[in-house]
Amino acid sequence: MTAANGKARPPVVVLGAGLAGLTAARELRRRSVPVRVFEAGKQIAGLAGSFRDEDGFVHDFGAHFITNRLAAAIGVGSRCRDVKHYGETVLLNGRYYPYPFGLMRNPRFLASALAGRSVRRSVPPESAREWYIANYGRALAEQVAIPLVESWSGAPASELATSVVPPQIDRGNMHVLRLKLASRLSGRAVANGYSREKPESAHVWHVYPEGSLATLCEHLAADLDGVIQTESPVEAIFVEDGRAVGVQVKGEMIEASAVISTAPVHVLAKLVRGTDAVAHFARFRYRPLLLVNLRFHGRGLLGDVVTWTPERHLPFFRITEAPVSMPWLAPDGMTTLTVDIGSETDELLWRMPEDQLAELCVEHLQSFIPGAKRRFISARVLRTTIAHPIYLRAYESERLQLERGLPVRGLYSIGRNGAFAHILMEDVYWRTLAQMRQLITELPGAANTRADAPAPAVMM
Amino acid sequence: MPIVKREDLLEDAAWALDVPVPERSHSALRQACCLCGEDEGEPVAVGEDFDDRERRGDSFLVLHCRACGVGYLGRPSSGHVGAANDGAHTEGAHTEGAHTEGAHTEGAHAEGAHTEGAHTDAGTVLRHRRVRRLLGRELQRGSVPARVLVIGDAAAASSFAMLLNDRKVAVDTLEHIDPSTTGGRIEPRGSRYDVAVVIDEAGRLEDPVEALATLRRCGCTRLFLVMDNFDARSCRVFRGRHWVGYDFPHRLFWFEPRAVRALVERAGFELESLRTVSAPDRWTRSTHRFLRDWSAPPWLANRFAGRAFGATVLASALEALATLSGAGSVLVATCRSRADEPTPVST
Repeated sequence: MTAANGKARPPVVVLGAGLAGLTAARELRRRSVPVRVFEAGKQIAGLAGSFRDEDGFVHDFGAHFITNRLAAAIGVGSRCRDVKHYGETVLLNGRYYPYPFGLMRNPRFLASALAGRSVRRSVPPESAREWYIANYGRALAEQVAIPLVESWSGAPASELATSVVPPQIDRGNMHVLRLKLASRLSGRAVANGYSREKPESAHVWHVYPEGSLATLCEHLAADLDGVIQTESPVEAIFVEDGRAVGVQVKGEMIEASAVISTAPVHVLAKLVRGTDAVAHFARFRYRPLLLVNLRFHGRGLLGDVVTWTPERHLPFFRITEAPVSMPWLAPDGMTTLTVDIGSETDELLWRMPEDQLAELCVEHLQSFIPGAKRRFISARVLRTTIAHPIYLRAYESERLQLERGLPVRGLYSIGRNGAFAHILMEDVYWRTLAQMRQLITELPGAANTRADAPAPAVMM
Repeated sequence: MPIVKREDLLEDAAWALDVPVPERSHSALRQACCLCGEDEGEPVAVGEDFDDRERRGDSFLVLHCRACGVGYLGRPSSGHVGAANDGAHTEGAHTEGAHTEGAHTEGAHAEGAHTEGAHTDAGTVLRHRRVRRLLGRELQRGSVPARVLVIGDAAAASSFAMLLNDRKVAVDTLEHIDPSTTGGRIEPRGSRYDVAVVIDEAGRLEDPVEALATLRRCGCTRLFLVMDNFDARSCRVFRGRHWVGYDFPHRLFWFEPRAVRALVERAGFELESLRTVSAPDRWTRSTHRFLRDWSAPPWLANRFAGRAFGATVLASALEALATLSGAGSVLVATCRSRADEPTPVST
């Protein structure tokens, strides 16, 4: 591949070999654009990674949602199994309420929701707190939504921007009902609220790889032989005349025709040299999360696959029992509960040893899982400092600017962390593809990089 | 002038099935819009091979080119292709045994756009009375065709021969090409034809533009295309995937009416008429597929299989309404070669 002036075009450099980075690299390579991927860790997959332990339990970094459409697009459809059931409940005062309509069984919540819907407000809400109260009514907002969003974000709801409310949460009751009905009739977990980039329908349902989540990234990486360098953190991104021109890896300067970052934006802000156009992103914050994987005897210990726990005395806000949906993730007769604990890195919980953390969780689970202590087998704790972005009002205007793109030509920030957006896997994939097509049109000599250009040997 | 009899055509088709099918590399498939070459379409359906649901899960996308109105099979990644090709070589995806037992091999997915299993529905198009009537009327117009070439599977070809018999349309020669035996390409044995009829095969050809252009180069002055209409009301109701005309990955493309117009024009033909025709079985069979896919009890699904009276009456009414509004299930395009057109070049 040559640039318009006849010189060999430098590669597009991708930071990070997670789902977004690998998708970007594969799409560029498919279109004959030279590309190099630098991954700081020892392995690919980033947050989409997982591992199977010696006892047959599969551990993922938190909950992931893969649809048959995403699996088909990546090419792993035949290696995935259909998820037959997926549901969420809210645990409140010892009772399970199926989410979202089950909450309406509580007369107070029903009245609250009706009141919230019936009142028209001329002033748009400025914070997440105001939004929830305006749309859900005070009782439902204060007992369920606000405690959850605060545990999720680690900030008061009054300091959170309204954009913290995912757009899919307000898709309309009929749409949600239709998909739930389709799910019930088809015997498949029809995706309901997990895709914004592409339309939801009864034909799009959850699937999960037979092995583990890492299957997706491994498959993407199979097309990128010789392109990915692990244990190679990018130390700097150089910008000249408002354009990204290269990176520094292990002290070596590497020229680049464009740079695609999947790093969290506050990290990206510190990597960029030669301009301060992205320096303000350094104040963006991500929520650290402790994922406590607890193994138990038995299965179906909770009300549904995901249980939300808005009660403030509990140290966790969400518990996921994935083997209910995906039995192959745990040995027969056993299960895994993944307990999500939001905690800042300087808090006591973050520093707590694994066994104590597990003991604390089991102690609390005992109140609604009969015999939890007796059933408990062992635990494993995963820690991530960048689980999801915190949508603070303090930097909402900068976040909106980031949505429109970085103010540096040839520099792209993609993926869940790079875009600073709470987007799920399928959206990451489609967004990344769209961004790469945009990037290709902006590269010098873009006319050469048509889809029907000869594919590199590795592709076919 | 002799008319090729149905029996002769069936023999011909049987002979064709015994012929070793040329290897068809997946890399040769364009897997992009056959009109503009773009492969950035919107995903409109997640693939499911309804002919082979037990052996293979969903593993492909159907993409839609918004600019041209062409639907096409999405390109799988290399790992998948590798596995598919291996299967084709080891399990003999194209043997007659695979056909008679109705089994598809792994290779059938990637390469099997033209396996026999792909043609479970082809040919049935001509069983519809209205399609036969329209096509027969069109054939009787103008001068008597001397040499006719039929592109379709054996069933389609024999149905067409019967149609000629019924309509008393006399022809000198009637030849038949089954693209499933030629790797999705049209390679006429003779050099000159007057009329070509493509029966439910346009979406299965490797390069539809080039294939039609080949027909034009062979002197075909008239071209008839009979195919499923992917803008049909029944297709919209069943959202594509459950629609019985949807048989990806065995087909590579689908066409909306505007895409048909663009296709014939690019191949150097002029569209004389483009009509949609009623085909009520598209409703009953799609309902059957829908119910089967959604694990409905067999007693209910079977109500829509075959020629159940109630279902057929209802389907006929729905299809009649759809056809009146120009959204019938089958498209019949009548084209004439543009005399002043230079030989088109494949995209």
